[in-house]
Amino acid sequence: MPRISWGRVMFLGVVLIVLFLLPWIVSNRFYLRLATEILIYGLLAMSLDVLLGYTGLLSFMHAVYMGIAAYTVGLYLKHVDPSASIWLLMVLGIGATVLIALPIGWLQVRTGGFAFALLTIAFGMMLYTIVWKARNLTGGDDGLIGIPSPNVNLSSLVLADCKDPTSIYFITLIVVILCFYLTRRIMRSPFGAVLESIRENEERASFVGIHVHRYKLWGWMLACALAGVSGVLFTIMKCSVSPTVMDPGAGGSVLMMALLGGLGTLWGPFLGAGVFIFAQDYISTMTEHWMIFLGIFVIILVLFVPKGIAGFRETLFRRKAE
Amino acid sequence: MPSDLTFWVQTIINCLGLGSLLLLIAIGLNIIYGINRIVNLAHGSLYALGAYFGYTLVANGLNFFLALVVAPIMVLGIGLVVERSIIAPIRTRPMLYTLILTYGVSVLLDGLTKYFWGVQPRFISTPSFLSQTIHLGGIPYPFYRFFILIITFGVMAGLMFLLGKTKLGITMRAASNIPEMVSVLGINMNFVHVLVFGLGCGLAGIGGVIAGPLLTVYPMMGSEMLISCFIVLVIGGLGSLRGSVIAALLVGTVQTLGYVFITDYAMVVVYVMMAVILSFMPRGILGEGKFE
Amino acid sequence: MEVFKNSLNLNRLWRHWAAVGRPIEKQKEGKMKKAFFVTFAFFVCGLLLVPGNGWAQSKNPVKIGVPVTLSGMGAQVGVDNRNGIVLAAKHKKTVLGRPIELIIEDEEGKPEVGVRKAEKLVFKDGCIAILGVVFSNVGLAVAGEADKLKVPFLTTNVMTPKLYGINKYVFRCGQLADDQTAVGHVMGIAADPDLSKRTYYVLADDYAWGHSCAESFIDLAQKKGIKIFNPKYDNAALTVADWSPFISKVSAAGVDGMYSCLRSPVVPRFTKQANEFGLMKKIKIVAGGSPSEADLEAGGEAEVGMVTVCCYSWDIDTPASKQFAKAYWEEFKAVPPSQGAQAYVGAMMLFNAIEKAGSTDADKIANALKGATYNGPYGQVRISPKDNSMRTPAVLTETRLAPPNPYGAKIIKKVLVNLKPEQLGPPE
Repeated sequence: MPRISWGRVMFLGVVLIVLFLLPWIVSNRFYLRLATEILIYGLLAMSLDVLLGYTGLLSFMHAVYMGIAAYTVGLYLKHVDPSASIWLLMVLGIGATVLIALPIGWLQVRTGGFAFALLTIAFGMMLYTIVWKARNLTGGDDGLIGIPSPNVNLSSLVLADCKDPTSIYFITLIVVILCFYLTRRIMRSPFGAVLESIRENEERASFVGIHVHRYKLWGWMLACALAGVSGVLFTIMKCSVSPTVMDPGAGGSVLMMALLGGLGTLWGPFLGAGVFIFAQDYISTMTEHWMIFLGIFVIILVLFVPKGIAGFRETLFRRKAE
Repeated sequence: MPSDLTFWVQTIINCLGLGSLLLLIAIGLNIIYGINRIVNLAHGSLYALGAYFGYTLVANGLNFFLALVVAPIMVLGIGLVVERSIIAPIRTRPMLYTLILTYGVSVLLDGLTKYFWGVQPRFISTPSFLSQTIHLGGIPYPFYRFFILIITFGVMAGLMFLLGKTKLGITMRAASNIPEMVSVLGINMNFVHVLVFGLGCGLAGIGGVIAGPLLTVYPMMGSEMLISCFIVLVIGGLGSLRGSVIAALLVGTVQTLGYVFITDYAMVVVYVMMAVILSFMPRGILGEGKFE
Repeated sequence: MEVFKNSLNLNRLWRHWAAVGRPIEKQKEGKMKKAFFVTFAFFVCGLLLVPGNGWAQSKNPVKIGVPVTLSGMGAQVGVDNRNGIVLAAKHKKTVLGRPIELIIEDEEGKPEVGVRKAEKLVFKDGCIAILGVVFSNVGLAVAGEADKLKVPFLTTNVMTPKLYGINKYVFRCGQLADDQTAVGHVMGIAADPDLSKRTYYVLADDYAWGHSCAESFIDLAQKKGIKIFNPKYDNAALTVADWSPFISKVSAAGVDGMYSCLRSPVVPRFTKQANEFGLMKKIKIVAGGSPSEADLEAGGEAEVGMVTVCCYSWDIDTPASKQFAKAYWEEFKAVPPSQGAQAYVGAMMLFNAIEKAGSTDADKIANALKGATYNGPYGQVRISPKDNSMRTPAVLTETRLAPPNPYGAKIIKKVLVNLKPEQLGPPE
C-alpha cells in the first residue's frame, strides 16, 4: 500500500470539489457542454490507455467502439423506447460493444505489436464502412438526429431530466468517476500487473506461465467496454450520432489525447482530452489554418514531452524507485 | 455483366494501371520502413506536396519531364529537413513515438499545403502526346496510363539495380538486417539513414507528379493515398519489395473489379483481404515481411 | 518522497532534479524540458497575438454566427458560401442601426463539430442567428438542436428534402434543394430535342446527398419518360480517385448520356479521365451536382459541354447580376460563383428579416422570415411560409468556352433556359 501523503489527498479533494461545483463556477452553457464532452472523450482516452498504456496494444481506431455503443443506444431510443431507463441503455450499449469486440479481439490478439495496430485499422474501417452504408438503419452519413433524451429514474423517482445540461453533466461526471475508480482498482490488482507484464515482455510473461492471449483479450474487452460506456454517454449528451464519431480522424484524435495526457496513468488521458478538445476548438476559431498549429503542437509534444502531462511525475517515481 | 471485348481489355489495363500507380507511391514508404524501421505517416503529405510542386512548376512554364525531376528533388529536400530536425532525435525511442511524430508532420504539411495553394483542385497539364487517346485495335485507351506503367517499371528496375548491384544498395540492405554489424564495419549509419529517407521522399515526390495529371491535385489526396499504401504494404509484407509488387497488383485488381461488380462494398473486400492476411500471414504474401 | 510532502511545488521539483547528479543525457533532457517551456510560452503568446475572428472594434454589433466547411471535402463550397455572406454583410453594413458582425467558424463537415460550433456561437459569443452550413448532415444535426439553441437558423447550402418544415426556427434560402434540382434538370432535358432522346447512366457519390440527388432525379425522370439505364444507380465511394472502372462501365453500357450526382470537386477529375478514354465524345453529361466555377476553371477545356441547373450564373444578363458579379470580382478576385450568389441572397434575406422584425428576438425574426422576399442577382426569391424553404428562379446552363470577360474565366455557364419559381416547386 503506497503511503498516503496529505498533499495528494488535498489535491484530489480540491479537484473533486471543482468538478462538482463546475456548473456554478462556469455559468455559460457552452462551457458546461464542453466540459461534459471532455469528460466523455477523457473516458474514451482512458480506455485506450488501458489498452495501450497497460496492455501495450496500439489501436488506431478505438473510437469505433464508442460509435457502436452510441449508435445502439441511439437506435433504441429513437425506434424502440424513447423513455428507456438509463441503466438499460448502459447495459445495451456495453453489451453491443462487447458482442462485436469479442470476435474481433479474439482474432486480433493472436498477433501483436504493429500487426495488431494495422488489424485495428482494417476492422475499424470495415465497421465504419458498414455503418456508413447501412443507410436505412443508421441514416448513413446523415446519422441519427433528434434522439430523445431519456430521464434518469431510480424506480419511479426522477433523478434528472436529460434536457438540462447540468443534469447531463452530473450524470456524466458520476459515471466517469465510477468507471475511473473501478478501472483503477482493476489495474492495481494482480490482473493489472499481469497486463503490465505482458506489455513489458510478452515472451517472458508466457514463460512464467501466463496465458498471454487470454489476458490480452481480457484487456481488450475491458478497454472496449469502457469505450462503450463513453458511447452511451455521448448519445445521451449530444442527442445525435453520425459516422464521424468513428472515422479514422476520430481514432487518431483519441490516440492523440491519450498520448498527450500520458499513458500508464489513468487520469492522464482526461487531461489530454481536455487540452486537445479545448485547443482544437480554440485554435480553429482563431484561424482556418488550424491544421498548421495542430501539427506543430503534436511535434513539440512528442519531441519534448513524450510521456505527456502525466508523465512528469511517472518518470520521477521510476527514478526514485531505482 | 458486360461481355464485350472493349470492356474487358479496358478493365484489365485499368487493373494494371491502378496497381502500378499504387506500387509507385507505396514503394517509398516500404523502403523507409524496411531499412530505417520508421513508419513514415507523412508519406502521403509528401506525395501530395510533390504533386503541388509539380503543378506550380508546370504552371510556370517548366517542361513536364523537367518538373518530373525537379519536384521530387524539392520534396527530397523537405524530407531531409524534416528528418534531420524532427525525426532523428527520437529514432532510438519506441516506434509509437515516430508514428505520432510523423502524424504530426503530416498534419503540419497538409495545413501548409492548404495555406499556400488553397482548397480547389488543380490540374497538371501534360504535353499533348501524353494525354492523347490511343486505339488498340479499335479500343480507345488513355496513353497516360501506359506512361505510368513505363515510369513505374523504370523506377522499380532502378531500385532493384540500386539495392541489388551497387555497393550503396547492398549496404542499405545490410543495415536493415543487422545495423550493428554495419556500423562496426565503419560505415556511417546516420548517413545511410538519411540517404534512405531521402530516397523514400524522392519516390513519394515522383509518385505525386505522376499521379497529379491523372487524379488531379487536391488537398485530401495525401491521406486517401496513405491508407491504400498501407494496405499494399501489409499485404505484400512490410519491407519486402517483391511482395509489394505482387500486393499492389492484387489490390489494384481487387479494387478495380470490386468497383465494377460490387460498387458499394468494394473497399470492404479490400479491408477483409487485409485483415485476413494480417491475421494468418502477418509476414505478408511472400512471407518476407519484417516486424522489428 | 520528501519532495511530495508539501503539495506540488514545481520549483522544488525542479531544484530536486537539478541537485541530483544525473547522467549527461538526462541533463540534456532537463535543458530540453526548459527549452520546451520557453517555446511553449512563446507559442502561447504567439497564439494570443494571432488576430482573432470577431474581435470587433465597433460598438454593440449584431452578431451572426456563420459555421461553414472550410476544411476537408466541401472546403471550396464553404469558401464560396462564406465569401457570399461576407459580401452581403459588407453591402448591408448595418442592421437595426448597429453594425453587423460575422463570426465565422469551421465546422469541418462533421455534424458533432457543427453542433458544438453552433452552441459556441449562440451561448458563448451571443450570436442572434446562425447562417450558412454546407453539408446536409451538419445542417440536420444543427436543425435538431434548434429548439435548444432558440435562434433562427438559415442555411444557404443544405439541399436535403428532410429540411422542409423541420422546425419553426430553421429556414433554407440559397442552393436549390434536391427535389428542386431534379425538377429543373428533368424539365431541361424534356424540353431539349437532343437531350430528351438520350439514355442516361446515373452515377452518384456514395453519401446522403448523392443518394438523394440520384433518387429524386430517377423518380421524376421515369415519370416523364426519360430513359434511365440503371434505375438502381451506381454508387462511387467517396475515396475513388481513379474513375477508370466506372468509365469503362459507362462505355460498355453503350449509353449516350450521363446524369452525374458527383460532388463538384470530383466532376473535373471524372471528365478529364473520361476525356482520355474518348468517352466525352460519346456522351452528354447532365450534372446533378452543379460544378462550381473554381472547379470548372481547374478543369479547363475538358469541362465544356455539361448541362447543369443552378440559381445563378455570371452569364445572366440583368443589371443586378452584373452588379453582383462586379462586386464579387472586386472583393475576392475570383470568378463569381453560383454558390457565392446563393449565399449572398440568403444572407440578405436574414439581414432584411432582422430589420423587418425590428429586434433580435428569435421568434420575431422567424416570423419575419416567413414569406420574406428579396430581389437579387438572379431575380426575386421568396421563402415560403408553408415549409420555411425558398421558391426561387433558376437557370439551365451549359458549360462553354467563355468569351472575353473581366474575370479571366475560361469557362462560362451559358444560360439556355430561364426557369420560374412556380415551375421548380415544390407546390404550396
